[in-house]
Amino acid sequence: MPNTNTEFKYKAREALKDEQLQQALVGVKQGLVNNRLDAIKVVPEFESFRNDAAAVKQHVLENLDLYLEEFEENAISSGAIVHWAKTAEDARQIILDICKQNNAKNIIKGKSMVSEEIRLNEALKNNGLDVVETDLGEYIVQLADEPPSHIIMPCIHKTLSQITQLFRKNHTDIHKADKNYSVADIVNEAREVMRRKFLSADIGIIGANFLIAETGSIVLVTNEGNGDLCSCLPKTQIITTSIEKVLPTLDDASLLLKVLARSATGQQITSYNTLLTGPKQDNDKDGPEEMHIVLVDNGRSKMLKTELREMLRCIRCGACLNHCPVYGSVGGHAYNSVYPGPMGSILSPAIEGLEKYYDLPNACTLNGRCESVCPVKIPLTKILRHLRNEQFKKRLNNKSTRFSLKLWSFFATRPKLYHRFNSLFINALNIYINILNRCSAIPVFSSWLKSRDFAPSQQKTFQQIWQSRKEND
Amino acid sequence: MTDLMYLNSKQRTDILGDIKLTLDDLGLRKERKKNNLIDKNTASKDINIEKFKKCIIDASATISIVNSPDNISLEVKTFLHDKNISSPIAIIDPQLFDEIDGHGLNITNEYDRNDITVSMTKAWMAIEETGSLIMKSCPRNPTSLNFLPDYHIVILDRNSIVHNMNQVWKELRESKKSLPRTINIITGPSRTADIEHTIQLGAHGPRSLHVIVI
Repeated sequence: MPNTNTEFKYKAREALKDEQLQQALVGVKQGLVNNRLDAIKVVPEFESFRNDAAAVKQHVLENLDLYLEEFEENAISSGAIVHWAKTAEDARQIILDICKQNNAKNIIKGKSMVSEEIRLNEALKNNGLDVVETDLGEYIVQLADEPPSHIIMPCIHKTLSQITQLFRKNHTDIHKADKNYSVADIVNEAREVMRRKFLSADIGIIGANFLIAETGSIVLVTNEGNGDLCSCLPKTQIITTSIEKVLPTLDDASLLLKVLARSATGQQITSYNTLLTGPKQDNDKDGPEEMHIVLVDNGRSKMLKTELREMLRCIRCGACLNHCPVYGSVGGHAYNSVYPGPMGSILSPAIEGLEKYYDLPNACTLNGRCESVCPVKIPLTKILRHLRNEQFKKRLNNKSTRFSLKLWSFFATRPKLYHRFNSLFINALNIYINILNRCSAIPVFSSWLKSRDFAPSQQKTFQQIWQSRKEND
Repeated sequence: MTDLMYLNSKQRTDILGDIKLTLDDLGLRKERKKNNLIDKNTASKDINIEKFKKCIIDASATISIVNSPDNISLEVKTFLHDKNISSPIAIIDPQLFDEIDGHGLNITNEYDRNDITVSMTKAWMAIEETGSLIMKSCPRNPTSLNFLPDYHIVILDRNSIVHNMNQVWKELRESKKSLPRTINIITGPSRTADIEHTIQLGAHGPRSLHVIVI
């Protein structure tokens, strides 16, 4: 899928008009937000968990090389094969080579955002491999040939009737055209189709939520159980993951799991949390003969050098998406990036360039709701502001934006001038409004006033009112 | 050295070297701070079986408590009868197989992976705090038996329930054996809320999870 992100404004406008999408987004804004609230209400120490979780992830970043080496050593001694991929292209090549060595044809996948990031499905398909996403949401967007629109709820933008149509088109052998499908019917049909895939696949590719340095294990968090079937049935297993996912110990994993599940789906714990260590052992009845772990960098070691560093604490819970008023209005696809919402507005420019994703750091009102719910306390608005500064420094903004920003900074850094100009401006505005007798036609602000009205003027500026009050006192 | 191996070791050096340089140059390395909240010392506290039971039920699983292993069979019979299931129960664990055998239950240790309705496995431990079952993979406990069937029955020894997840890790470290390939922490049956936020059980794994505590 091409990813030229000059279209945010256009796509956002289209999304606002899309009634089905708007309906679906209500579920995000209400359902997921309330689920999280209910889940943390019963845990009075949740705030301390967040502090600890942030500290653990920060500590890992400050010693990332050491924990990666420890992880690698322990993973290798458990029998796993560890690969390092500097770029997305390297990662794809490594995985294609493993497929080739194993003469693989059929591949099943568990949900992995890293695999989306490296655009793995496309590469596998282009090399003649049959690849099926097994997470229900991912499977549905795969059938629709769309990218996921949410990092944990990939098909959040689709309605039941849209999904039923997709199934009718794709499952011609078992789908009953005359039947009125319920959610349960859809889930059952997917289960039936997928079961055959699970049992006949050559390779299972899954992601990892955490890597454990202490043991060389990976931790996989799911609700459906598809990731577990992917990891115990095929004879070869590939784990696509990234370098910042390492944690020092198993105890750290328990802590992170506590904040992850509650922040993501509002569960105390998800149905399945799995610790995988190495390939099949002697006499085991199932499990893969080979376990490959692909550690992807793809710009992360570079991020470590910059002010974007703290973004590497992200555990991909999606809470910042669910609480973002912009995401809640336009959905994930408007961002035209693998990672949408606040976290995506930082990660995508960081990974693929600020030029390519110019709009994303600006698709934010800096209201800070995202960082108030982030389980690892990433200062998202601070980083987004930093990215905007970078855009200005790199001269990425267009001329009129640069001019306005310069003009603003000229006044804002000269308080006396600013106040004088401001009172002049207010007076002019009042005269203008009085003549026209309405607020919506003020030039320059016309697009801002399209969806809201200007508050009636107080006749004076805040500073003037403040001064006169001080004098009266 | 093959090209692939050469490439891999070069990329490894690049990535790790880059990180090392950054951390040292920017002086970012810091000692680890202690967590504010270390799990409260719960070792002396008794396990609250009622709390465990509530968590199991909250996770949409079912639970029954029996007094001795002899009563398992009757419990399983009732469960299968209620669900109207006549398929054989897949059991691999020889000890469990012997315990159940002879009580008139239809059991098998040679099942077809393509067609498996009910399985019965033993939990290694369980967590009171969340109602989670800890399944350790070994030749007697293949992981797929926890995920393939529609109905999963788990036998749990009451004495193996601990308060929290960190106690499981502690036990694992103290057992001094190498880690099993898989540890499944299972809390309720398989589920999905991918379609219109509607929770639907039995997405890919078991539709129903029944815990029998002895």
